Amino acid sequence: MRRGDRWAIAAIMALLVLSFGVRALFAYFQRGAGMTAVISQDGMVYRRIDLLKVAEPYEFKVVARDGAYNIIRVEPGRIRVIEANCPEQIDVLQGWISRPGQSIICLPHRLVIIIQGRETEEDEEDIDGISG
Amino acid sequence: MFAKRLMLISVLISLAMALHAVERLLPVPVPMPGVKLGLANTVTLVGVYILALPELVLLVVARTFLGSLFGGGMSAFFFSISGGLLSLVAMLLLVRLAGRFLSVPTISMAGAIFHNLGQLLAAALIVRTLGIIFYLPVLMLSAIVTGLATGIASRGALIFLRRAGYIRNSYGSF
Amino acid sequence: MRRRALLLTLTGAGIVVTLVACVLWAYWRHLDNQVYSQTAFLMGTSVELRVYGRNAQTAAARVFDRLREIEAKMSANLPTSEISQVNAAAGQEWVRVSPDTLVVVKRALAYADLTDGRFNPAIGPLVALWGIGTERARVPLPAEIAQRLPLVDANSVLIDETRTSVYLTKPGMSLDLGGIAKGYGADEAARILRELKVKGAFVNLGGNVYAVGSKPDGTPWRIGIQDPVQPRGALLGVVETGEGSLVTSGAYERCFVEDGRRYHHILDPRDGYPAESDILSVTIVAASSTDCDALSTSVFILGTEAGLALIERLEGFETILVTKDKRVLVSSGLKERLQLRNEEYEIDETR
Repeated sequence: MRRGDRWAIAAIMALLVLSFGVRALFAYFQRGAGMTAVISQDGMVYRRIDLLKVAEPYEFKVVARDGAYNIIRVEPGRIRVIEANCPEQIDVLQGWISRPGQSIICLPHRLVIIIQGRETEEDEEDIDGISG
Repeated sequence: MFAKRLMLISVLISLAMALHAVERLLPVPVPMPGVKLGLANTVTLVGVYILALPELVLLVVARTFLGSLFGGGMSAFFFSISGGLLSLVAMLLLVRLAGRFLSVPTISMAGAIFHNLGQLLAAALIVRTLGIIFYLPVLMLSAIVTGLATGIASRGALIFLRRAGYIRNSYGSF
Repeated sequence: MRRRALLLTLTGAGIVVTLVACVLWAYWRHLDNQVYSQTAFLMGTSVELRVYGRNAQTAAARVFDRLREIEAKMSANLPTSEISQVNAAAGQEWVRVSPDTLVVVKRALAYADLTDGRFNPAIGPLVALWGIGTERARVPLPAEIAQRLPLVDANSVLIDETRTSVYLTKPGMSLDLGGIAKGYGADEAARILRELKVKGAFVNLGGNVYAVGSKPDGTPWRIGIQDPVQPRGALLGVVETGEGSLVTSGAYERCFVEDGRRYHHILDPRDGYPAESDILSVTIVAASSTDCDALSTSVFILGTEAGLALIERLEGFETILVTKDKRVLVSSGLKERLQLRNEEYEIDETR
């Protein structure tokens, strides 16, 4: 231990506490009684799933241009990646997520699944536009 | 002089590659993107004490580039280089400005924290989602733990290198 | 020492090259994934444009310039437009117009021919009389309507292709391209976007939808169809499509209420009143938005029987008809691609 170490460690601890604070703040903005999994790739929303309205478990595959894929399984109240062709399989290892604010990220495929607590409005649909 | 420096850098780069390969063999303890031991960072840390700035940047860029050739590809390169360079800057500033007051493991922890921060920022850019702030505390915690571990290892390495007579001049003491 | 300088220069150069390459690559990716959207009020409706790809913003600017140009030529509400000039010279002289206007007038006359005058670009006098969509909307007296009906005559609209001129033979006649110009705008927008090779784009000119290319994630475009009786934004269903146009016309778009009766904006040129149709809304899907626009209005006025008969004579059109008894008639090519959202409606399988 040197003279400065004490201060440095104090600063690091402060940063750690701050990071928890930032996360709590983020979770606060995501709060709500709803639970919507938002699946996006390259920052564009691919699909929204209201996890509270899932009756039967199902799976679907998200395929990117370059053949990269992730297979996502949806069950009532939770969602996970069950298979992917990314090198480290971190998204698969992460398992289920089931609370607002939680997310699964597959960096090589630039895929993000995040659970939002904000309630989706009744007729909010993932459409590109309305004709009529 | 030229050949010696070049050789030193090359040895450090290959050492980093070897450590990188070893790390790939180890299982990931926590399945989170960005959480890893960072064994190859010991090489950067040792470098910070004995290399000049351009040599250091060459070391970091080369090892990140070669590392992502083995696996990861372009986007992996992009976010590990931002982590690598940010952590290099942090460690360099700390060693050059306050090297006499800080021990190697502390520098290492700071480096690991900035490494993870840089990765997180790059990742946020790549996936374009702020939601990955969720990972911030986990990454900080893991940086503290892994930074401490690699810092202790680096300190051992530096002391050994000095005793063996490989290091004559260094920036800051260990 | 010189070698050391060389090493420093080399490493320095290497670092700079790597960093620049890194930044360029990140920027390239960023450009590739660009999305640009813009909304504007043009051609009497709100125009919504979303473009994907590296030249998204320039492409959008080009599209809006073109739409403004079309509006300036074809709007019946701008006194300086070519259409207004043609109208002002009705019964007096030929008026030289741009090829754009000529093409649209020609298409409109072709549809007047196909529908036996039920789709009619010479509807101007009636549109002005009713004023639907403006503050002075009112139910005209029967005598006023009777006075204008003879002026609503597509056969008295003459065009001269060699001199790109238009002439309305009877004084008081006027053209109104409201039922087709938006479609032409959507087609022109799509043409520009294709020429500029954007990755994908979504154009919506107040319900005249044109989808160009594909979405970045490769999923089909999803277009909501307005529920004809529910408030704006409520969906009858969702259609998944690839490249092409989709246009919906319905009695709900613009209307006003007088003495408890609703009067909508699609006028029947035969009696001069809002079309009494058994249809609530018509959706047409095809490659050309001009055709979709004109056909959706035509089919609405013609009603289910005659409307479907017309569609069957033509080729390359898919339809969704919603009738007043809440049946939904879907052509075979759309059956797989339509997802109903409102259970009050029932898909009629007999068609």
